[in-house]
Amino acid sequence: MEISVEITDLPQMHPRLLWRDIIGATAVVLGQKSKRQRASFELELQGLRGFEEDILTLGISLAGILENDRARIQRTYEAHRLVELSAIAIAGLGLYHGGGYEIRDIAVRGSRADYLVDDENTLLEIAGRSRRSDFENTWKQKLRRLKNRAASFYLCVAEFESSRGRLALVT
Amino acid sequence: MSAAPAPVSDMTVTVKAREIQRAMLAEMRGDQSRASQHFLAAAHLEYVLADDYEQAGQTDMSFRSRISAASCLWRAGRQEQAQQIFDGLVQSHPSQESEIREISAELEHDYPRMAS
Repeated sequence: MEISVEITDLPQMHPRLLWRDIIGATAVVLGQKSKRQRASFELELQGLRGFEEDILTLGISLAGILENDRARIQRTYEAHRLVELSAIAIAGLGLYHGGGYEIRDIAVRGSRADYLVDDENTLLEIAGRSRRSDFENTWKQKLRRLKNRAASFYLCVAEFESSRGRLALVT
Repeated sequence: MSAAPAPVSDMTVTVKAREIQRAMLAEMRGDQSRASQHFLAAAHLEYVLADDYEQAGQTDMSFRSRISAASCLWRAGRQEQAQQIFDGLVQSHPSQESEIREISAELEHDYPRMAS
């Protein structure tokens, strides 16, 4: 499934969180590869209601981001932080378009996850990597750690070398 | 007639989440002073939420908020105060002692106490 999305719509999709720096970081990371105002990201969905095994191709519009914001964010965050923040944006877009899930809160320390999703407060762990070769190891490591901690959780790993990722609801 | 449980304010939950986000973003930028301010604000809101959840009969959520309050205090540089909360939680929730000890050990590792 292929859809067009505006990166600046993230605050409407997940209104409880702050998105400005996350959106700016995503524009920097995705904008480095595509000099245009548009980038494509392929997200494999697993276990999400109605999207059990599907590829969601996000055509992401990077328009509407102030150049000042981009420059400030590029100046103030290290490269690996920009990648981490961009992965949050990808998870946010994937959850919203993969079934209307909403990130509602920050997970408590010790939970091995970053955020909580929907009223059920299901754990969500997000990881961003700049190299494709790190993807599978990161996925396996995060999966193993979370399985020891929770009966069900969301996991999203995004890599920005080939602009691909995986988002799963593990139960 | 017993009073209905007080609802937990959605607004407080949102503001608290955003304060933690602001703190984490400041940490990422290397601005520890600003991070501490936001972690302190979040810790106070978690205290309020812990009481609200308790009143509403949501004891798991109340426990979670107290853990988060202690974690935020620790990350704001108030390690002694945070440790007191963790110790209190071990007393009141002995079945969750290993989880509480694991969290405080993780914080001790990631945010070591400054020598006084």
